[in-house]
Amino acid sequence: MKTLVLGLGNTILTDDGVGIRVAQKIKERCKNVDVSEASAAGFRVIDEIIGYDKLILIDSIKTGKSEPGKLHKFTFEEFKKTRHHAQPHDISLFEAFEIIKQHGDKLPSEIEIYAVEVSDTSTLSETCTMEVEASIPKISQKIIDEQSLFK
Amino acid sequence: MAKKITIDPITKLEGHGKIEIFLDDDGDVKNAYLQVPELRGFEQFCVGRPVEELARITPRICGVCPTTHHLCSTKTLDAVYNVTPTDTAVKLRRLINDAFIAEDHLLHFFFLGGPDFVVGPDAPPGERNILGVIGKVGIEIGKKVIDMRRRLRSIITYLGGRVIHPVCGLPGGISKGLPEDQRLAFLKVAKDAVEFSKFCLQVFDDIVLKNDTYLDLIVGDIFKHQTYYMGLVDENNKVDLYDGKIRVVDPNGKEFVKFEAKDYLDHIVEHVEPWSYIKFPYLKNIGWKGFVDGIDSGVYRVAPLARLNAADGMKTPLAQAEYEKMYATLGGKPAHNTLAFHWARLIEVMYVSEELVQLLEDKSITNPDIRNLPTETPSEGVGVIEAPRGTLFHHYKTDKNGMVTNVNLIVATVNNSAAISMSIAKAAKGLISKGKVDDGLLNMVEMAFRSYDPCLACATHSLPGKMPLIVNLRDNNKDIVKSIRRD
Repeated sequence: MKTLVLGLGNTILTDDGVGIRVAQKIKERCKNVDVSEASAAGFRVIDEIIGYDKLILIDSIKTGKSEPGKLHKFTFEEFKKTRHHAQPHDISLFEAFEIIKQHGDKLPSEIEIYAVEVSDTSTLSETCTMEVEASIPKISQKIIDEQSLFK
Repeated sequence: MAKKITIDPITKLEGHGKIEIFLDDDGDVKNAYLQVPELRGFEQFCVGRPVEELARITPRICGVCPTTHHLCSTKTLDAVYNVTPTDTAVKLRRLINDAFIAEDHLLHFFFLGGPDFVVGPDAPPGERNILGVIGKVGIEIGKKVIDMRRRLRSIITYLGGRVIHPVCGLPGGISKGLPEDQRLAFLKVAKDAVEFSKFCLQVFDDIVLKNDTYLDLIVGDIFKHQTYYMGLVDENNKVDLYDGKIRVVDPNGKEFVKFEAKDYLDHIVEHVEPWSYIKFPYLKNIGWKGFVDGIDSGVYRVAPLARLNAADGMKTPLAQAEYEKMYATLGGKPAHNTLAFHWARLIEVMYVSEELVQLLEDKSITNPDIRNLPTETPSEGVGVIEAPRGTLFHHYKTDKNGMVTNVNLIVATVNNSAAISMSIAKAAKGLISKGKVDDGLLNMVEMAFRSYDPCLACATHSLPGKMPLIVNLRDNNKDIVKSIRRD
């Protein structure tokens, strides 16, 4: 089974980059895993994931209900009715999935979504806030263990 | 008694773009404004860094047009180091720029703005998206669009290292050359892009121009402003998206000024309003007269239609023929019809596709001389390029060690910010009267907004990709009477 770990985020916006930082940590520890990073959304990311059987997405999230640094896990279905991007530039990743599927391209059949609770995504900084930064090694290990990425 | 409208400064617009529509005593629209939250501190973030890092940092302002920022930043580095890039490097940079503009414009037409036309502004929202477009034009076409974009992006991936944030620009050149086998492979992509452009323009003709309702919308008054227009042109005043001089024409089409990037501050000034963090550039030598159009107002527009208005023609034959057809249909130059931005966008796809063929048919693009090493002490430089969404300026100042001391960016969409506010206001005024609001309001207002293909992330160096929109309707006491959300 071909697996891709994809970190999403913007690495100059403090906690917004945590998805990519976690993906990079996973790459450090599991040299044989395909790991990619993307600072974009929707349609622009689709090309990266075609041809894989399994996709592990890692992003940041602000539910406001957990401590920063906590790892959430979601299914693809939970995001079907997601926030619609009114930025007239793009469509959500999930809409993009639907479109690509309709065109017969091989999309991953298994999708796992991890999201790290964050606190600051609007200050310019290349490092995350303290609690989020500290959580990166633990989170990467958790994903590696859960997904049996280390071979 | 005149009612003064003041809008409170934004305190917490976290992640929301807002359109505020203000009604007068009679329930008619008095004014409308676009408000966007800003990400502050970008300049501080850059100061003290090695200037070459800006080519890596500025693309992160936005996940949509990072390629454009990267190329503009690279040109600015050329200026900071006072080094001329090799001819081959310029050809390769143009190749990347053209491929990017083609795939980005196609994305906009088919997936974002196009559905307004192809499916129809009155279609239910569930249909007004790419699935509706594919329903109308056929599923084979959907496949072709996706495939064409992927192939164009492969050119950027190859030369740029990565497609979403390419990393190939260097002061004086580019980091990777093009071998012969790739030249031939990409030439095939370019030729297919030309054919595909013909198809897109045919779609526009069949579905939009031959439909009287749409044609009325395009030429009608609701979506029209008589502004100045700005765009890059070459030495023959033809549209150029990579380099040249910045030309501005007045609302009658007469050349107002033509200047080099380094002199931009003599011609463009940014006006600030207390109620929005987005700045409103205007022509310095005309002056700020408010959110009005006309020859006495310094408001100008950029991006596809503006570029075609500011130039005397297109460099390539098929695009030139389409340019002539568009202006004949719209009744001459300049065209003031906001919805015609969509048409001009497709003409630009044709132009860049033809230029891609020209660049790739020239074997000298495989030459190995891809860089001139900088030898001078860095100091200050301005770079300019045409982003899909308009003219982009980067301005960097450094100390003699090349560490950044000052950064200023005027980013594409921000040039259109006054015009966008005006277009929204005009559309709202045409649709709301005596306090009666139609549910089609949001869509018609968005249509005005979408024609500009605005990148609010870039415009405010703001939160990328996180912009749900809220439209608030306020009565004379500024109380909200209706709020329509898109999130």
